[in-house]
Amino acid sequence: MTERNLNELSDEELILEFQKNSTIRAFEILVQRYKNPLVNYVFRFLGDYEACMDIVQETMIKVFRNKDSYKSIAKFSTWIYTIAGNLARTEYQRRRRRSIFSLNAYGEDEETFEIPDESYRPDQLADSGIKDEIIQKALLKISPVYRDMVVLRDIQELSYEEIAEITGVNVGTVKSRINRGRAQLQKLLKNIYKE
Amino acid sequence: MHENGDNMMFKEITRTLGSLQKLKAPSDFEANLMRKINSLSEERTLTFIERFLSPSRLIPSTALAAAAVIILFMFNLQTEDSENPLMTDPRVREDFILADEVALKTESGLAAQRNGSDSSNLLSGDLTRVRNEDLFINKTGLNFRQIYLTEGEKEQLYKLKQKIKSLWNGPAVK
Repeated sequence: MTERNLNELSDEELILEFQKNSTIRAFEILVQRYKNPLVNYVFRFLGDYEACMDIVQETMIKVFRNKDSYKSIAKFSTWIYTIAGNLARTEYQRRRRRSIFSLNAYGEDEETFEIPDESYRPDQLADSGIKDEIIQKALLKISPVYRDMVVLRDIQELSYEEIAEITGVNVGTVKSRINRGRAQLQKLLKNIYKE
Repeated sequence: MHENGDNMMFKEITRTLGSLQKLKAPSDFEANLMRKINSLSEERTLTFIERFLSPSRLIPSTALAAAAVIILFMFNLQTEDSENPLMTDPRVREDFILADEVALKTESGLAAQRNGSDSSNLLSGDLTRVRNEDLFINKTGLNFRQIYLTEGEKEQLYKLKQKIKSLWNGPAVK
């Protein structure tokens, strides 16, 4: 199969090509397509670029080594996001165990006791870099269960059904968790909206 | 891809999150990834060979096997030498077995005599042969006190024996 033909294939066709004929080029095209979305997803969840790069690389290695475990009944994007999400959550829990003290408690129903960050002046907020930093900090303060879904929905722009499949919960739960996460974020980012 | 049913209450926050800068993977991402994949596959073949050939694995496993053989050998030797006295039958002396057989035959002979059947052959033939050959136990080497009789005492004892014999065998022997 030529390079042009491979580029025209869908994700599912590419992984099938990789499964059947071990075409490395098919795998490389998949890596090209998914590296940036996964970097964004994992970084917004963990907030650490170095760790994020390791996790995305590990995700790709898992895809390479376990290519035969992919079943064509599922979307490839769902499969690869599930792998990355699991790795990111494991890393988050590992870090959480290490940390001695944290104001935020892990868990869906537990309250957060975070204080809105008011250290930035309104003129500074005009700078998009600083604004991004504030939003990222706020994201890291909300419960990881909500954060995962908010990132998948509002940053990765996946459908509720896809998120439900990736996280393994039903669509209703996904919707309610996303709204709770958004509410927590809104509370934390009220200074940005005052502007 | 956003669905139309998004909650209007969070319109602002969804817009803010959507406007976040998109991060990019470094330019050498693919190169690093392929290098890692290649090194992992090499590592896998190395461990396969190492499992059987590397001295770090071979020496301890050989030592362990040798120790196991030595322990087994020692255990086997011990089991051959030692006997559990509770599990083995006691040794039986042959002369006791013969004495038992004679007693059995004597009892059956007497019973037959009482019944009046013709079993005199058994008593006079077999039994006397058994008495003469087997009943007398060789006393040499046995650790008990031996009494040496004088000629007069022997004669007296012989007479007594004959008397007992005549009483024992009854009128048939006479």
